Amino acid sequence: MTAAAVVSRFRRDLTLAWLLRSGMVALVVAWVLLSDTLHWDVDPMVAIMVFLGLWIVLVHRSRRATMVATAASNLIAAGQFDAAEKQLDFALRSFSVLTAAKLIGLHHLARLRHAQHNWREAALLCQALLSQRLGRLQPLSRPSRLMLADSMLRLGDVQGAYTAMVDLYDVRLPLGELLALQLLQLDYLARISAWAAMLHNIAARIQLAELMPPARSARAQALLALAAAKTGRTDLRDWLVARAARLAERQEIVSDHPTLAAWYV
Amino acid sequence: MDPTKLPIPEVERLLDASQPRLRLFSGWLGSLVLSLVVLGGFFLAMGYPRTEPNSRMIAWAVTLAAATLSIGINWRLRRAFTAEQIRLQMIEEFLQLRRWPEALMNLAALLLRPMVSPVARVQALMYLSAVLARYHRFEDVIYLDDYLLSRINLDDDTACGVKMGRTMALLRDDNLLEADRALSELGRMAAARQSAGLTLLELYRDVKTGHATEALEGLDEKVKRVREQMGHRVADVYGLAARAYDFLSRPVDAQAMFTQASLMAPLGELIRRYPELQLLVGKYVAYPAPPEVR
Repeated sequence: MTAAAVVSRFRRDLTLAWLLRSGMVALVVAWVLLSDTLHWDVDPMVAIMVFLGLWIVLVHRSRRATMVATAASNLIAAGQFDAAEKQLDFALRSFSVLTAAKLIGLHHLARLRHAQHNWREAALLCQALLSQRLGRLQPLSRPSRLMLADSMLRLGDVQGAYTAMVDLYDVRLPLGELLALQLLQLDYLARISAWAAMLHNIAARIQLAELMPPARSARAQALLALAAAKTGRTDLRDWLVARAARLAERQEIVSDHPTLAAWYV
Repeated sequence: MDPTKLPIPEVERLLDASQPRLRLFSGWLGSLVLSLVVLGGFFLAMGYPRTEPNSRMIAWAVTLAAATLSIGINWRLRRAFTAEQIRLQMIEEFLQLRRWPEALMNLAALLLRPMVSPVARVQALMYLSAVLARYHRFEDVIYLDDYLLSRINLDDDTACGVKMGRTMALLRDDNLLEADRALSELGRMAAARQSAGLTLLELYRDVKTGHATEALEGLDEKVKRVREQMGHRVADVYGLAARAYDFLSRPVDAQAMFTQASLMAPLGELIRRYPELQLLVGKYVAYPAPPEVR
């Protein structure tokens, strides 16, 4: 399924689910209030029980879809993309009365596309998710924004990346997301040549970079080294380059970053 | 701060105090009973089977009371559970950022009263073990890890992590015989076999027992494994390799390794982890760090 098709189906399913929920509530209320007036012979209690039963079945189906979508998360982390794709396809195609199932499915599909380096589709899916009212799934908006910003940067859309990132500065992020944001911020600042801003509070930036997984840590330190080089700080540049080189190969460090690729040896 | 003067509560006290309390109506049985009361009351209140008006009033009252109780209990439990999760996440972040006093303070606050979730308690105890190791309370670490391994049913990966922490504490406590036994046991665990943690433990054991040649065997492979899994902790391998080369009186190689170690991590942190590296300070030259990070 292409991202555009998934988004279109997602929006249609949300509308259908809303109509179904509203219709069921309206029918129950009408039955209880109007059964005497309209001389319906069926007891309102029976109507309530029937709708309750139907609701339980629909919620159960939705929960199953949610579980399948959530399980795909582990498959993505393990690099089993084909299996994750199948699971998410099932979760997103099956009808769900709860919007949470669809939102979680869409979020994990965006994660999958991001892991597959399909930046355009990942961005499209993140934008679709962020355009919804997330309610109690609001925490999903943070990783989605981070993925969107990263995808935009990889696509060379610096302004789009900034727009995605800017809201994250106002919220308290867990450490893992803070690390991701720091790398994106460095990437963004390097693309707009804001070298001095990159070196602001450098000790804290280095401490955070040390907590990242090796390839990301190397990239963050290479970006800081680039900023040090541009501001004439050769001691800092040499130290950071030496550290980055001991953490990852050149290709991992410079991928999708033309400025870094042109500079980093 | 002198680690021996830190106000760390006794581990046994924390273990006792943190036991989750048996809560009435919080388990599945309690939920079932309350649901049945609500459902039964609802039917009676609606007049099924035929019920006197007074009885229906009482049924409504019972239904409402049971429903309110159920919602109240769930709300309180959920709030306590969420607060516990948030605190644990905060502690994990303190540990990663090496903000040990804050981590310890929060752990004590969490473990000095009954915890809501047994799973969260295990997590908190594992974090406590890491903090105690930081403050060189190795006997307490071993006691705590033994408690976790013997009293709690841990999955393989978690048990492996706990065993690694225990083995490191045994090594630091100079209990080498027991540490060697623990390492053999770890070597038989599938979860540990290719792990950077086991690589570091074996390397440290070899360095500590003076088996420098064994420590340096397959060094490139050890560096690669630790670098890929633990990033900057590759400094530990370089530091221990420097000590092994120094032991073999190969100063040029020892200097090269010492330079790499000091490039990847602050020397103070490395010496805190492996006091044996103190011998190298002054003997070899560290990589010159820029002023911002000194």
